[in-house]
Amino acid sequence: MGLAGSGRFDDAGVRCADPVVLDQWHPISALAEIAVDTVHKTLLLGEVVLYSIDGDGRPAIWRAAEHPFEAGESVRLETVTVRLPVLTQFGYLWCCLGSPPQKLFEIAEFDEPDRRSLNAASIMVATSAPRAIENFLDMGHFPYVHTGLLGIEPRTEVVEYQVELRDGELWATECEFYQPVAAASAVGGQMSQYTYRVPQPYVVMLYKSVPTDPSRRDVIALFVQPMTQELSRAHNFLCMVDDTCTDNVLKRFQQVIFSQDKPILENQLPKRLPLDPLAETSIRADKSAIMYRRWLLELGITYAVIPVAEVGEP
Amino acid sequence: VTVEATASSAWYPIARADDVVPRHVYHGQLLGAELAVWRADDGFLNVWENRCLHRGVRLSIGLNEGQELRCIYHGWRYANRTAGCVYIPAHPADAPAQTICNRTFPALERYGLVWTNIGPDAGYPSFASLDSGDPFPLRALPFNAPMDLVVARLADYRFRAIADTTTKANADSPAAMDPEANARPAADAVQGADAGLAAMHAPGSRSPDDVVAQGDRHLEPRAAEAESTVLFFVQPVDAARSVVRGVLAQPPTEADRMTVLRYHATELARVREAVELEATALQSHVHPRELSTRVVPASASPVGREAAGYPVRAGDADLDDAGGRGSPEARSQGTTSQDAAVRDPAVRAL
Repeated sequence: MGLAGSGRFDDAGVRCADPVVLDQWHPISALAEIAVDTVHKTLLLGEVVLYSIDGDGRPAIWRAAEHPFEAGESVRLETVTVRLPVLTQFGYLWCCLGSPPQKLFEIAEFDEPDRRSLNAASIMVATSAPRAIENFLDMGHFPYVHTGLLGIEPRTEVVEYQVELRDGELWATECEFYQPVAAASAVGGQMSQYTYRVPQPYVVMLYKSVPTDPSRRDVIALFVQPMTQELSRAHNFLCMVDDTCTDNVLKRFQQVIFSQDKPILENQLPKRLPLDPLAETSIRADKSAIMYRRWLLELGITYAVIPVAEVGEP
Repeated sequence: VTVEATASSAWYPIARADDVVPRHVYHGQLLGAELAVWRADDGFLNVWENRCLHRGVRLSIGLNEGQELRCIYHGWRYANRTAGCVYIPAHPADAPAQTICNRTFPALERYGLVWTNIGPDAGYPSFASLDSGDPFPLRALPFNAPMDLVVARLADYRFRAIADTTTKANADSPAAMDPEANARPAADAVQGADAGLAAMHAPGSRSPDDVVAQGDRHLEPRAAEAESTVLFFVQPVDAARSVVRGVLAQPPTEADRMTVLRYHATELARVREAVELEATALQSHVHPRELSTRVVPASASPVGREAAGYPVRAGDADLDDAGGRGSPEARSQGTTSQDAAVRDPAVRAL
């Protein structure tokens, strides 16, 4: 499989019928990775969408069915008349297949002048978007999946933390975990302080203590593009306080971390996230995941999840 | 013609005994369910549902630590024999609740194979021609075809007489084939009471009388009185896939070994080619996703509450020889079915 965007798609597959998910902004690509006047191709909620950007930085996204092109073809965007709603924010291209909200969630740190924002990677992972979100929210796997970096035995305990719904977003606060190498810039281990935030169902962020400046917090986010119910593309956004590491060093650290998560995610069954609280065995450390599942249930989300009523039926 | 009834039709082979080596976790597949098969240091053979109770990660990618199986994701440890969770690292001071116990299935080692039974209790598998001998399992061969079709076509499998067994090359050469032998009906060609070709299948799916397909194939013996017997067991991986596991009643002599093994490998591959073409034709109108849904024999109980409700895809077992063999459409593109994505028409051509 090649990367979405340069790949080819035979068929759009099963269309999404979930109005909650359809009416959200979803990430499509990092702006920096879109070649001017060149057609790119990807999947969003089971639909083939094409996109490009012109020489003045104006983007366009459209359904392949409306204006068919092959990926890599040249395009004059003024010929593309039937377009999808588009938004550029945080260095990414966002798209909506339904009725788009007025604006996207905010990341205040994005506007701080001494921060560096970049896309660490856009990586496809063969699981549902909410499974990827839950993995990002989870601290218990640090010593086992990110051994020697984000955690190490015997310091495996997940101490109690707080989870709440705040202004329509899910927040987990007072999170703490011992990390041998917390970031690319880290020298020696630290007790990392985390705050997690889920501003919309398939977007997750964390605010994490900066190794070189305890008064500030790095922002690391996963903008997950639900390609189909069981296939995702994770766009890893960084907004860092770091004047020592090059972009490539920052990217490489995140890519190592994600490459450790990916095979785990792809061996998780079922791929869609079960919303029944009894479907899987949760423990206190999973408080954020428990709340996340409950929240998705309350929002009425049916895409990429296993609704409660479905569990137990043949 | 000998027909060996399989009274214990709920038992299926899922691995060769030597697939389950020390400190390994073997990924087994049966009737659409995935199984984690591992041997503890005390020799006990565990056959478990292949999902960690916590977050559903396959236990077959976990670690066999001798007395416990450790999940790769959060380090949860499950005990040998009971499958009870004994340690949760996120809360090291707390003993896990006793209710956290994985689903287990009975295991049996016999005829060089590992057998399990995910249905109701049934007597152990027993085959007279293997009980008296020194069974020698052949290499397993995966088929992209449903069990019933494989069983039916194996029944038509014909033995090829070898004109001159002293020239081993003959066995491998199509030129040595005897078209007459291929054309002969089974009953005419049977030359030994035990020259059998057996196949097990799902309980209730066929009457016991036709459980065993009788074959007439055997290698021409060096000594006229010697017989060569092979039984084929068909393991239903899921609704669309099977694994054929042959067992020779006696190991071939050192001198004949390569000839015999290559003979069966070649012939089975030939059968597979025809069966898979037939299966593809039969199923070309079915959406690929439907082919991977689980099947449970009518009389069998579901594999755990979760598994019953979830579509379990069994696409990437490390069957000894099956690894990397994908669905026909995946193979035709030079990819494997390691990943569900290739089965999704939306992304088949990524």
